Amino acid sequence: MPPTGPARRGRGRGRGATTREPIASRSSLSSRINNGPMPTRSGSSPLIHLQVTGWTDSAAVKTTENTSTLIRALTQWLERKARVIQDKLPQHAGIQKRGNVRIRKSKVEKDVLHIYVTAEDSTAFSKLDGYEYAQATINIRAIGGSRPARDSPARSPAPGQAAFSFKSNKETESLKETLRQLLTTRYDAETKVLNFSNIGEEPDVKELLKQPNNTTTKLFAALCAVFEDVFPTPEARKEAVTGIILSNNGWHSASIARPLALEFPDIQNLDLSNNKIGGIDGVSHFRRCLELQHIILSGNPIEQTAEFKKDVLRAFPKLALVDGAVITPADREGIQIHGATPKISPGLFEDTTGLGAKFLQTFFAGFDTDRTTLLNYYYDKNSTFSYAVNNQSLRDPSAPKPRKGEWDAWIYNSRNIWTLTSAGVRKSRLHKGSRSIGESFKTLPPTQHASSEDASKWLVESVPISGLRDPSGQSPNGVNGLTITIHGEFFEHPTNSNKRKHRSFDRTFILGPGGNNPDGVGIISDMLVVRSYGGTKAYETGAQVAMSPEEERAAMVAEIMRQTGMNLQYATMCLEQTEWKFDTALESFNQAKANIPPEAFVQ
Amino acid sequence: MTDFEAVAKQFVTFYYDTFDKNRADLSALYKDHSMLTFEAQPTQGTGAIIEKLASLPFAKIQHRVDSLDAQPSNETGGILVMVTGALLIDEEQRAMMYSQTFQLQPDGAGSYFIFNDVFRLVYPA
Repeated sequence: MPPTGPARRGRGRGRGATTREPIASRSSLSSRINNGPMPTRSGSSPLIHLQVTGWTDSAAVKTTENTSTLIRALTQWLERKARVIQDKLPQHAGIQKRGNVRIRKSKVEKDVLHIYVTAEDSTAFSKLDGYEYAQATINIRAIGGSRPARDSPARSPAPGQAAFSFKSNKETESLKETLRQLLTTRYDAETKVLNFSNIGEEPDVKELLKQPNNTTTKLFAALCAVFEDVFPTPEARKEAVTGIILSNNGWHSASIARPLALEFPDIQNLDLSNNKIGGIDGVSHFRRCLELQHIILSGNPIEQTAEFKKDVLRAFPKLALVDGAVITPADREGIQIHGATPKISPGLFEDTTGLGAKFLQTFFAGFDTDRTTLLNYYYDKNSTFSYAVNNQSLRDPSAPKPRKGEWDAWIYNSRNIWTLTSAGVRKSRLHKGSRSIGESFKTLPPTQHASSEDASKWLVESVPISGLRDPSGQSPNGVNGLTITIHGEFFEHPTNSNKRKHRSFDRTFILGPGGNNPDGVGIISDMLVVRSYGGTKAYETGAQVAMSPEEERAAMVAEIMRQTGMNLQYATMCLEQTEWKFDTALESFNQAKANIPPEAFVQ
Repeated sequence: MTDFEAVAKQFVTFYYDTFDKNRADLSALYKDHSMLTFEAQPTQGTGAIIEKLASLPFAKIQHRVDSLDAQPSNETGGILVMVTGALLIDEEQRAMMYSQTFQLQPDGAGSYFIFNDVFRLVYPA
């Protein structure tokens, strides 16, 4: 089966669950909270005029000379962000599906970008006020009549001053007041904790849930909307809430509280104790909380499951504590993402977390089919990318002779610093940030890499690297990642018989925290070498030649390292002590692992 | 900021010159926590790495660098260096293509050492 491309951002967990909900009737909780303009078909409703300013301070302005490119990028960004926000808004009849959230018209006047959007979409766009775009703060103001939802990121609307999404009517105001009251008793600003323990027993909540179509999930969505009045920006919310308590609710799944996972993706503590959660799927909506350091699941049936701790560690890579107990390197041993081991071999693949393997499965499929999505998924503003052409590499006898202009598609941006002497040119061909990398990707011809199932065409090796930038800023000495070196092949212009070319490539990635995906795996560095097709002979030699006793031992060491996460020295010791019997070595490791010192593991 | 490109180029020149003249002299570039992965076989520590390189079954060797690229790689001043080129062994006419990736780290004394070194033949002819 060919690898599947990266999941598109936002599909899957968050969104899928929201859209499956029955659409609330207008009398329900969420529609009363978000009592916006009357639902109308787009086209018949008048467009709302919004002014976007602040973007002229962005880094993008300094690096992009072409205004239309710049504006296109900005409007696409606004639409993308608005769609994400639309997802989080309580759903009600008439609110459009996110795919339709878009800017209908736009024009630029000096420092002001005027955009025109439908009334339904305008709430989402207005909420972008105060967002950061390429290091600049974006301001959004509604013109004529309607006011935007936010005046400034730091101020909440005064009581009585209706925000755009809240039509001023008594019923809504009274409901909002109820929810505000609920928040004042349930939010502790000092400890930065939202405590929704035993929420169903709260008299006000009981009352609200009596009404038809109201659900606890909608209640959380509405509470989030009220919370946003006080803390309008993601940064403010990250600062305001670091922990959420959802204990004693009798839930079979934490998905009931999924609006909280969307609203507070940066929480570090999550208490789900004394519910009825039976499996790891019950916390899947909170997997987007990549910063989670402590999870409490005591008093849930999941605790009795065989792989409890491993399942939890797989789901939340940064956990330091589970149920109050400190996680040791031994707890993380052998943790691999389910079903993510690609059939890519041989080579030393020292990928103890399985994240590298998962990356490989998605990366090349994405590179071939949808580079834009791939960019958003794995690259961020700190990623670097460059490539070099090696036009002196030997060809496989099967490869046709190079033609005139053989490397035209590649050579003008090739960064071979062995021969390239101009510092300015070198610099211009090293791309930093997904934007610049995207521009470079666009210049590359379409590609089709060999299927990752076809092991004979790939050679992958991976070694750890330390000192990577920690986006959370909590590790002054940096964090660990993986360096992955890949040798393989692809077709350039796979569907154009005149331009089709078989190539070999070598590509090195450094993977670390970052990106924009549920695993939190990002590309720190991406370095590519493209050369003539050189065949697969080199990849076969190791497999075909009978191994010498030393090679056999080396292969055993590599496999023990891979399976246990121990470093070379300890893996070797482990095998020596068991007289190079592989299975015995692995068994003795599993027995003794609780007592193995931390220095035994790859740091 | 250090000119990582100049460092990479100087390093690569020095590394292959030394390799081709006297492999044992490369010991200055590795440390005890350095790791060499040579054709999928891992070796750790200066002594073991030099031993591994010395045991390679050829007397005379010459490296030809065809492509070199480098990027700053981490917060601690590391440089990721990627080389592809050809090995000319014992005066054989036919070259063997290789790919080698180095992770260089500053050694704190104004110089760099090899933290990781991953070598692969990509076309053995």
